[in-house]
Amino acid sequence: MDLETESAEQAFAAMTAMFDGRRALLLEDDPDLSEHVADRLLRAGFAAVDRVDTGEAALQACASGAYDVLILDRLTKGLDGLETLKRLRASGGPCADTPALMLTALGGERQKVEGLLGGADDYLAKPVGDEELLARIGCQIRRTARHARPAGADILNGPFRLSPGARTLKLELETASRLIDLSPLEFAIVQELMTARGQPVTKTMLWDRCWVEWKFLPENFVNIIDARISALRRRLKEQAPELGEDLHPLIVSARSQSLIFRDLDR
Amino acid sequence: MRALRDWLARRTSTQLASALAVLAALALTGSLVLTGQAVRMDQRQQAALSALDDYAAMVSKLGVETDFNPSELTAGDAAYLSAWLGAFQSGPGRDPGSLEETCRTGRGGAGVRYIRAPVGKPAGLAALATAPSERLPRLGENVWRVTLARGELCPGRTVEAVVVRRTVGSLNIIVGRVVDPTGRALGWAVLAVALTGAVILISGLAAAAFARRRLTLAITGVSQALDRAAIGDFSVRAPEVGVAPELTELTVQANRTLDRLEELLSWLRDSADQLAHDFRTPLARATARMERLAETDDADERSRLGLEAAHDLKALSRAMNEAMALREGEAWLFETVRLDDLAEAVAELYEPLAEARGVVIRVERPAEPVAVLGVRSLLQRAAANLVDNAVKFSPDGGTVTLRAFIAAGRPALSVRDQGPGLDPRLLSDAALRTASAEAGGRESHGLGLTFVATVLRRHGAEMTIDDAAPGTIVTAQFSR
Repeated sequence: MDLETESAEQAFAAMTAMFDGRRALLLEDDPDLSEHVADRLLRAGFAAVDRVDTGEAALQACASGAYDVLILDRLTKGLDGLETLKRLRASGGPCADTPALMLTALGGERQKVEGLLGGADDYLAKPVGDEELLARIGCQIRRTARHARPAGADILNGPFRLSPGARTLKLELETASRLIDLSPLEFAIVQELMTARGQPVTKTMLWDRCWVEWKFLPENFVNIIDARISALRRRLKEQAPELGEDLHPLIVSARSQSLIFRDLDR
Repeated sequence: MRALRDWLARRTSTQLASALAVLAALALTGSLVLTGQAVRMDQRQQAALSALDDYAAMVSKLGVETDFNPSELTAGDAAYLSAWLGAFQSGPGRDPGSLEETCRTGRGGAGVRYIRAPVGKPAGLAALATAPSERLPRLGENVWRVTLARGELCPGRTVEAVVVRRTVGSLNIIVGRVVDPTGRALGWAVLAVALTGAVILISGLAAAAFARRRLTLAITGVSQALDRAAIGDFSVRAPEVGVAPELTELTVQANRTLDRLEELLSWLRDSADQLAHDFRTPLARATARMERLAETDDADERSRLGLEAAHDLKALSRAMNEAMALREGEAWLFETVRLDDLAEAVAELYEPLAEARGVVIRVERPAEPVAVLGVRSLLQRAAANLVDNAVKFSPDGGTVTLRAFIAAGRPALSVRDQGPGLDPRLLSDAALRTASAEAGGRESHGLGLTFVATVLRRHGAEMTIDDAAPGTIVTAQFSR
């Protein structure tokens, strides 16, 4: 367990390294909440968090400088967050392609769809814990950083080769090479975790991306995911015994709500 | 065509009805004028025929004597002719009183004659030769209409005669008949048309009044039902049949909407009760903890209370999410949801959780698809909730059976477990609420069966809970 904790803290440290020197724009008209989020981002490594409380101010801030991530509330004074985002996307300015997270009290399925169609890259319903928020922001920044790489390229992690196109996970050892047998859901989970490259993925993120046909978050989704992950760990262990006891489980828990696929190259 | 439709669309019914009335009056007047002319023509024709008849009779009576040569015609001949004509004036086979009657009543039929020989005095009605006349070529050759002024034939009235003017040898003969004035025949025609008009008008008004009353009644029915609904009483419905067939569709539609609103409202009321409970419990707990937090100085106690309060807030936000989900279900459109696929998916979702306790989830699906119309996210929640409960209450190593099927044409989904079974006393709706409230403290029970029942009622489905000995079988029976 020590090893697991260590690995988890490494993952969060890696995320801090990724946040280092980044700039965020935060549109939020509740001063307490705005201060709290800004504080968390700065503590996580952000170099600057510009706080604005109206859509117009956000547009102005975006016109004068580029940001690495936009965090927008929907219900703000003046121009609302969604309209602000639509204008930013259409403006062609420095923020036209910046990853944007909607962070809002409007958490309905339809509102989520509206937000994503309006140009948001992720949509979070308040209240959101710090761990969740940082993991989601990390995921967006990672995606931008990976932009240059061709989509669907194989992901390598130690002896594992994951091919998103063929939907296969291959174990490539010096002596032998074989496919790991996984159900479609299990493959989706492994893909999501491996894509994060050693960075934490929260269980909510995992639910959103792997249990896509479920239009809601069950109360006991944590139990459901935990049970599924336990089964997946066993499956990976059975099919990759060569890795040795100390590398299993390959999927480790981090903090209270996150999961990490162990970075085997480290 | 489009312009006409637009124009018509802008006219009120009263304007259209008035326009129709004006058109009908014009048509009736027009038909009267035409009828009058036809009657007049017919009477002239009859007079002309009679006149020709008279003429033929006269000529045959004259017989050989018609061969009068003007140069040979003597005064004696003329006197003879005059006397003959005098005798003939009343006409062969004519009612002698006819002229007198014609003049008295104005009715036609009396014959008029005039004959003029090259010598001697002309005989008969001289006015026939002098009065203003007009040729009537449509009635025959040499047929004329003569207007005889007052005093010329009848002392008291002007009459019209149709005459035939012919020349026999050297004799000029004018034979005619007084034409029945059109007034009388036309009067009958006018009366007939007026009566028809009146009948049409009265029956039309009666029909309109009846239709109007019927429509008003039907609309009043709908309006009353809506009025009651506006103040929250959904018990009144408009009568759908037997009032006005034209409005049946509207009435049915209005009633259906009211049914649906009533159903939704009662559903909302129920879920609001449930929500109040789900909100208040964690709120009350968090408040109590905050108060204690303010009072205590012990650091450990403070951090424990803080954590517990955070947990309560989480429960509150979960209740909030449920509330939003129900509202969401309110707004989203119904779509086709396959119950058999849903059963399969829920089984897969809970499989690892069940496996950890050695519980097997079995899915029985029929050959044909089992589909219902519903809000997918709500049905997913309901099904997940049922299976979650079934797994939780199953003994280790037990079996949970999901079955999608169609019974008597109605789609259904049942979840059967081998748990301890439910107390039959808990099976009523109110008791269910209590049961789920009591279980609310337990982790992840959430809204429990009440939530499922609420969702199912939202879909017009019934939930039944039966003893499966051992265990319980919960069945959701849909209506469509």
